Amino acid sequence: MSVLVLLVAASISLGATFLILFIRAVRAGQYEDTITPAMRILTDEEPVRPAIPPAAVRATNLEESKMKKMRST
Amino acid sequence: MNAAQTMSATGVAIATERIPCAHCGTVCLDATIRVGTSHFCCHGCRTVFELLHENGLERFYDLEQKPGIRMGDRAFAGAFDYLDDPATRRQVVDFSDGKFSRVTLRTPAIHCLACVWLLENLFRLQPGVGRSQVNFPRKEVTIHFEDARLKLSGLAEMLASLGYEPELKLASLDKAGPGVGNRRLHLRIGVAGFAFGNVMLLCFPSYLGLPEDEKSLQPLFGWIAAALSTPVFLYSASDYWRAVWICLRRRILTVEFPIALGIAALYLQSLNTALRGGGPAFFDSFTGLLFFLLCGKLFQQKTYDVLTFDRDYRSYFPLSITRRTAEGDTSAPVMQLKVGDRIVVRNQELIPADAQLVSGPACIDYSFVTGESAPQPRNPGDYIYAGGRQIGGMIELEVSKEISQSYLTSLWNNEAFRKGDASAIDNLTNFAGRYFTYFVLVLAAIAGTYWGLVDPKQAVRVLSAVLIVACPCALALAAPFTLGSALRWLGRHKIYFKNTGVIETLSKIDTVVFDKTGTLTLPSQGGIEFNGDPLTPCDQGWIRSLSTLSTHPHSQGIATFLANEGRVRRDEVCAFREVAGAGIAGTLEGREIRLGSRRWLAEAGVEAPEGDANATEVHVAIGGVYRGRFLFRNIYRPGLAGVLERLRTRFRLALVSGDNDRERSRLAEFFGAAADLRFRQMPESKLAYIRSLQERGGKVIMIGDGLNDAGALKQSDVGVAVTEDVAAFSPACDAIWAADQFGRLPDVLRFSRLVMWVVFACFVVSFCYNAIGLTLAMSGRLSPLASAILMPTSTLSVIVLALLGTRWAAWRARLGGRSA
Repeated sequence: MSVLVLLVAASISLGATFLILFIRAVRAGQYEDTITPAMRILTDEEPVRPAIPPAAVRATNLEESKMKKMRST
Repeated sequence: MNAAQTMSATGVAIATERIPCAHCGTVCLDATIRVGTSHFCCHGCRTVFELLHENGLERFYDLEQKPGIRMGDRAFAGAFDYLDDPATRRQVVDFSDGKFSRVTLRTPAIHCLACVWLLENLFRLQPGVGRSQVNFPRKEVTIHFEDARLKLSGLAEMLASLGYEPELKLASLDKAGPGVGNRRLHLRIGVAGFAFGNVMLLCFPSYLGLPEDEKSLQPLFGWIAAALSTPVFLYSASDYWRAVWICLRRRILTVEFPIALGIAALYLQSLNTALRGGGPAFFDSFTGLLFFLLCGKLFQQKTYDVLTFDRDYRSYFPLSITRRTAEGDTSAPVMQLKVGDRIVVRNQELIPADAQLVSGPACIDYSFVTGESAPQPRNPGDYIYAGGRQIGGMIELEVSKEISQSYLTSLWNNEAFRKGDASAIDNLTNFAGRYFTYFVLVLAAIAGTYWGLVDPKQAVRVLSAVLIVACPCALALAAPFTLGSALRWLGRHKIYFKNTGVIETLSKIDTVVFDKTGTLTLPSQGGIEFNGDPLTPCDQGWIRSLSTLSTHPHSQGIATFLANEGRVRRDEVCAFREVAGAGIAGTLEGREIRLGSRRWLAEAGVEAPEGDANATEVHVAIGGVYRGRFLFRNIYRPGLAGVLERLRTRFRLALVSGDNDRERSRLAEFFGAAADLRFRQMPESKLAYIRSLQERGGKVIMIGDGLNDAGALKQSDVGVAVTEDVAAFSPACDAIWAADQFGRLPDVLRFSRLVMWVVFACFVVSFCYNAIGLTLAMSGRLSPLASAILMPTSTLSVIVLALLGTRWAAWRARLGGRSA
């Protein structure tokens, strides 16, 4: 009996973990564009790194999402 | 006549070999540019080609067939300098921290995988550009770049010089596109799905039967299920509560109301049972219901997005206009015009954008916009609104405001041109939408009371099932989806309809009336002879100057015929006049030039000799002296006989022509003995003839060239303008057809009939679904979960039926396949 309770708790928390991950993925914009990534894999080549350091790109992304939050509240 | 001289027709020079441009694939005309083994249609294409090769981006050409965008000879230097102004820049750019900036630009020219690849490899072409990402469905590219090394204007210029000119509309802050709406839906589906899965697991024991010593777990499962379902009730279903609030406030009933009722009933009843220790009750139905409802909504949303995504730049007819630049006059699609461009508008042509008059006395007919047919004179410096039509000589304008394609299309659909009554389909759809909800609520009340008396435990289940299973959305969607899809198919074949109602009218047609000149014949390619004293190059230049101002096929034919001699001085022609069915006249260097029928010349006191009544003649007089005549030999469109033969079996055919009946016997062969062939028709008589056909109960489609038979086109039930050059556009027509697609006429008529069958089939399917679903639900045989699955399924099946049905209809009518 107590096993059942334990199992139920375990399964629900596992499910909840995935739900949280899903919510994070949606809010990060992964589901916004599902068509272009499908096209991108067809180009079939090694990705070449651009000159601007990715750190700078991440920084602008971060700043930008902060500003979006400020604007939306 | 003295020594009659014949000049051989030159016609249009056709390139002997059809070589496609190595960059964009358009067929290079005689002025091909060759570099090594590659041919290019213009310098712009060549520049891009070389640029890509120099920077190691040749892969662009491997990814797709000729993926380049036709460049023409446009230069962009300085075109985007206004973007560097700090205030403007701040509006356009997404984000900037002084060192790095990020901007999202709309580049509608993106059309394939190669474009995506090229734009994401932009950093290899331009120093200062970092990561760039394309959003293909929204035709946008987001670019990170370094402020110090690259100005925003430079970035825009570079994109434009590759062919991906960014569309910059500072006024619209349309940042929230379809992606954001979907995001909310995704989150709600996530929560509902999570709850659904777990609640189902918890409900299994009660289905399978718990052994005695574990019965105490039942209430526990009930509480857990309630805890999981509450966020679903509050969060995932929130859209429905919003809809209910709107319904109550505005005292109207929308489709969501019954569904919201069903959801609420199910949840509250289950909550009641669970709190009393009765176990999970109907929580599994409830969460499943919401999960599937939301999934259905998402799918509908995505389908709609895909359909509208195609519509932006393809389904609108490609109106073109003559643009004047330092290099000369070229034809350009209207959507490429920018503020400040100079355009040239001839007699009867439409002014596509708000512009300022630069030169030439203008006489503008605003009947398309206001319905008033009295043309108004305008002087240089005056502001001219889009939608007006120029009557008279050629004028030059400077574009003052950006083109709105939607404005032009709305002009086309203006009240002034509405003909006939509302379609039967629209009526049915409106009726269904309005009364359906009441009907469902009544049925639900009946079912609820019945079951409440007979078996109260099931009552709520049945109530919910009835409320949810009924779906009028299919009825409301069937027609728009099918007809919209049909319009897209036609648009791919360069056949543009004004709106979806045209298809319905087209399916009821029984009489086909043709105009002759320009419609059945190819005047620019026909043989032309000149009878008379030889014309000097100066004379030829004068005649040509006059005839290019008119858009009539004969005038255009003469202009092409005289193409090689004399200088064209269009701008200097004064007092230009064109009278339909008679001719044109204008004054150059003080001398009046007249081109037209014998009667037209006689009005100016010039005696034209009795001609061959069996030939199409255009007489010419310069300065009051008769000079000769142009003889037109008709060349009929290739395949005309076949088209008419196919039409003959099903429709009544008729011909109304302003020309003489020289060709009667030949045409009778094409049209068959039963057809009515009328010649020497004035525009008014054409109109009267069509009206007489309609009064006898016929449904008439008129095929003309849109200029000289505007009245007849408007009078007919469906007026089709067949045009080689989509600058001569007359909103009185219901469809614009590219001239090379003329042979598809029988196919299109068949297509419209088949499409109406598809719409009917969709209605039937939706009706059957509702009938069966409601019967099952009311008799208690349908669980709410099952009805939740059935409801979006019905909508989806109707949509799928609509799309597949249209595809089938296109295939049957031989309009299938992708072209252009």
